[in-house]
Amino acid sequence: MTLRAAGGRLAGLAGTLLGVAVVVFVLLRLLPGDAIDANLGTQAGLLTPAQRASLARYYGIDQSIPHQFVTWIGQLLHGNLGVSVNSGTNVTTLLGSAIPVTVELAVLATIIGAPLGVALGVLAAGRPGGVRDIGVQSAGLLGLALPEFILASVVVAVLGAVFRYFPSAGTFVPLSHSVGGNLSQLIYPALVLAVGLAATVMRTTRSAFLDVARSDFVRTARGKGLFPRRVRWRHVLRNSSVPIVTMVGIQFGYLLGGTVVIEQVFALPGLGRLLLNAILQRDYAVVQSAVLLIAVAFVVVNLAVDLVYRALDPRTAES
Amino acid sequence: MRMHRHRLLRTFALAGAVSAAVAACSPAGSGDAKSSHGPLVVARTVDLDQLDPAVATAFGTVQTLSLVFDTLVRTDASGRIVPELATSWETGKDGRTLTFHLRQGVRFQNGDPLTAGAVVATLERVRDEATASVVRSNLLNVSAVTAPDPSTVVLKLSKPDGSILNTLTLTGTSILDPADIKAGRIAKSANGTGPFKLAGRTQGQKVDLTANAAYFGGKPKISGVEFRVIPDETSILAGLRAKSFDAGVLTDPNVVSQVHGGGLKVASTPSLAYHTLMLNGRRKPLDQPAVRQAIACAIDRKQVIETAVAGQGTVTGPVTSPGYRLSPTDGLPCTPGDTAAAKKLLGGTPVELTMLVMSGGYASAINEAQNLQAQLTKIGVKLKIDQQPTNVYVKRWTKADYDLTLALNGGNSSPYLMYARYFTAGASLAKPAGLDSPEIARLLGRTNPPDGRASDATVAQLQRAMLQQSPWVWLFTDNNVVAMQSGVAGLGITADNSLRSLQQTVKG
Repeated sequence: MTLRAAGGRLAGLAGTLLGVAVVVFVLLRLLPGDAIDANLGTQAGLLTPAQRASLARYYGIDQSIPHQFVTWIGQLLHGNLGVSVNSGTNVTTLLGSAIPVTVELAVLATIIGAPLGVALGVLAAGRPGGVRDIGVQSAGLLGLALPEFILASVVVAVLGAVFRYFPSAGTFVPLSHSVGGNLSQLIYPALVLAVGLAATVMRTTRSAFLDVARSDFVRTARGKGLFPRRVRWRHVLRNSSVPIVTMVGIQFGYLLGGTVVIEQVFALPGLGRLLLNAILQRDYAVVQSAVLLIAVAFVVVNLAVDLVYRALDPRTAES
Repeated sequence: MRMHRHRLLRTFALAGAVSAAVAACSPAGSGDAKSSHGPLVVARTVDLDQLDPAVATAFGTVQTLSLVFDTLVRTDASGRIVPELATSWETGKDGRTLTFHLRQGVRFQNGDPLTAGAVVATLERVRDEATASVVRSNLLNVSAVTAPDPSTVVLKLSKPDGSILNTLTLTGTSILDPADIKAGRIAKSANGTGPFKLAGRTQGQKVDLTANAAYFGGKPKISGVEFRVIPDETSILAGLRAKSFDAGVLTDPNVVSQVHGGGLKVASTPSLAYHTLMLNGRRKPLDQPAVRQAIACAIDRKQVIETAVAGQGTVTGPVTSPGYRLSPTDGLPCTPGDTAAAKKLLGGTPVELTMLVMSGGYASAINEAQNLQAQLTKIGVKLKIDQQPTNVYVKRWTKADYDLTLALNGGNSSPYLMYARYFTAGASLAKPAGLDSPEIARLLGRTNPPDGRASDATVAQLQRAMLQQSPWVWLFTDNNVVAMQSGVAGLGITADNSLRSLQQTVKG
C-alpha cells in the first residue's frame, strides 16, 4: 500500500467516524423523552420544576444540543469518554470491562462457525442437487431461520433442567484468570452464535465454490490428472476464498455489535448488554462511546479483510 | 468417500468431547449456592444502580438499599406501621407535631452513633429541592424538623397529616450518617444501620452484602447475600434448577408458572402496585359517569389475569394494602363481566376510544390491552390501541393526552398516600388522574387522620365511592414472587417487594 493510499484510508476512517459520531448524537437526541423520564417513569410527574432542572443539570441535558455536541467532541479528542450518569463510573472503565467479553465471544463464534461453514459449503458443492447438498442446505436454512434468542433459551433451559448446569453461575471469569472457567462460560453462547454464522458462510462457500469449479483453469487442472481432492482444496477453494473471507469479516464485524440477545440470555457483561441498558436509560455518554467504538471495530475489521485479500489474491494489490 | 465421512464424524465427536471437558472443568456453581456456609445467592434481573436512598426509584436499588439502611418506622407484612429506628412516637393534640423517640445504642456501619441530629440532617436533605427526591412531595406539610435532645426528633407540621408516618417507612427517607452528608459521600458509599453491609459490587454482574454483626435486631443468620444480575428470567429459572442460585426474584408470570418440582418452592405475596385502566373523565363521552361505569362493569378482571399474566395475579379494587381486607368490586353498579348490565348503562350509544399503552415498560401491557379491547367490543365500545415507548408514554400520560390508558401504578400501605397525589385539588398528578371529584377528595382527606391509620370503615367508604364513580377501572395486582431451593427457610417477599426477611433466612 502506498503512502498516498494509506493516507486516503486514514482520511476515510476519520470521515466515517465523524459521520457516525454526528448520526449517533443526533439520533439519540431525536428519541422522544429524556434521561429523567427514562429513569423515573411516571414518577417524573411528581417533580417540581426546580427538581427537574436540578436533575437536568445532573444528567448534563440542561445545555443546548450544539453545546453538548461540542463538549462531547472536545472531551473525545482529549481521550475522555465521559462518565455514565446512571452508574457514576467512567465510560472508559465500563467499555474496558465489556469489550473483552464481546470480542472473545465473537472470536470464539468465528473460530467455530467459519471453518464449519466452509467445510459444509465444500461438502454441499461437491455434488450439487445430491442428498448431501440438500441435507446441508436444509440445515443451513434452519440455522438461518432459527432466532438466536430461541436457540439460546432452549440451550440454557436444557442445560439447567437436564444437566443441572448453568454456564454463568458465577460472575464472568476473564480469560487471563482461568482459561477453563472462561471457556465454560463462553462455549455455549459461542456455539449458539456459530450456528447462524456457519449457515451464512456455508451458503457463500457453496455458491463461490460452484462458480470457480466451472472455470477453465479447473478443467485444465483436472485434465492434467490432478487428484480431485487436490483440485478441490488447493485450486477451487483458494480461488473461492475472497467472497468467503468477505463474508466472515462482515459476520465478525456484525458479532461485535450484535451479541446483545446472547449476552442477555447467558448473563454475560458484554458490550451489547451495556449498550442496551444505556439506550433504555438514555445514558448518552455510554451509548455514544459504545457505538463509536463498534464503528471503529467495523472499519478495522474491513481493513484487515482488505489485507487478507492481498495475501490470498495478489492481483487485488496490483489493481 | 467413506473415509471422509469417518473423519467428519471423528471431528464432531472430538468437538463434543472438548465441549464436555470444558464444562466439566468449569467452576460449576461458582457462586456459593451449593455451600450451606457461604452467602445466600439470589438472582434477579436488576442491578443496584446507585447508593443514595433519597433518589433511589429503581426496583433493584430500593430492594438492596432497604437491607443496608433503616427508616424511622416500617410497615410489617400486614401493612401496619411498626417501630424501627424509632421505638415509639406520638402525635400532638392539635395534630401538628409528631415526636419520635429513637432506639438507644444503634450505630452506623462505620461505628458512628445514631443521634437525633442524623434524623434531622436526613429529613432536611430529602426536603431540599436540590436533592431531587421524589419523596419530597410527601413531606410538604413538614415545616420544621428539630432535635430537642439526642434521642428525640420532632416534626412540626403546617397542618395535621397522618400520612407522614407512612412516608417515613419509604426507603427514600432512610436515615443517613450526617458525617457522610457533610462530606458529600452519600452517592459514593453505603453506610446505614441495617442488617447487611455493602461489601462490594461488580456493575451489571453482582452485589455483595455481608451480615452486620452489630445490627440492633441481631446478626442475620446467613453470612451475607450475593445478588446476581441475570437479565433473563428464563435463565434465572435454569440457574435455580441447576442449583447455581439459592433463590431468584421473579416478575414474569409465564416464568413463575413454570416453577414446580426439582426441589424448588415459591413464596408469593400480592403486590401493592396495581394494574389499572385510567379513564380520562375530562373528555367526552367519558365525562359521563354511566359510560365509565359501563366500561368498569364490562370488564371481567379474572379473564384479564388469565390472558395477560397466566393467572398469576389477584383481582383488586383501589386499595391494595394488606392492612385492609375489602371486596375489590363492592361499589360498582353491577357485577364485573355482566355485559348486559354494561350495555344498559351505555344506552346503546356507539363509542370509539383510543387506549394509550406503554410498550417496553412492563411485560403484560400489550396482552392486557388486547384482552380489554376484545371484552369492550362486546358492549359496543370500539377501542383502538395506541402503543408508545416509555418516554413518549410518560410525556403523554403526564399531560393527560389520552382517552384511556393502561398503567401499572405504585401502591402504598396508606390509601391516602396512594391517591392524594391524583385526586386532591392541586395535587401533582391531578392532571393525569383524569377526573376532579370533590367527593373522592373529601373521603381521601378522612383517610388521613393525624395518628396515621384510617379505620377500616373509612377506607371501605372511600373504596366504594371510587368504584361507584369509576374514574379508573382497577384490574389486578401482580404477585411478588421469590422462588428458592427447598433448603432455604424463612425467606419471603412483602407487598412492597422488600426482602428484609433475609435477616431471618436460613440456608439449608
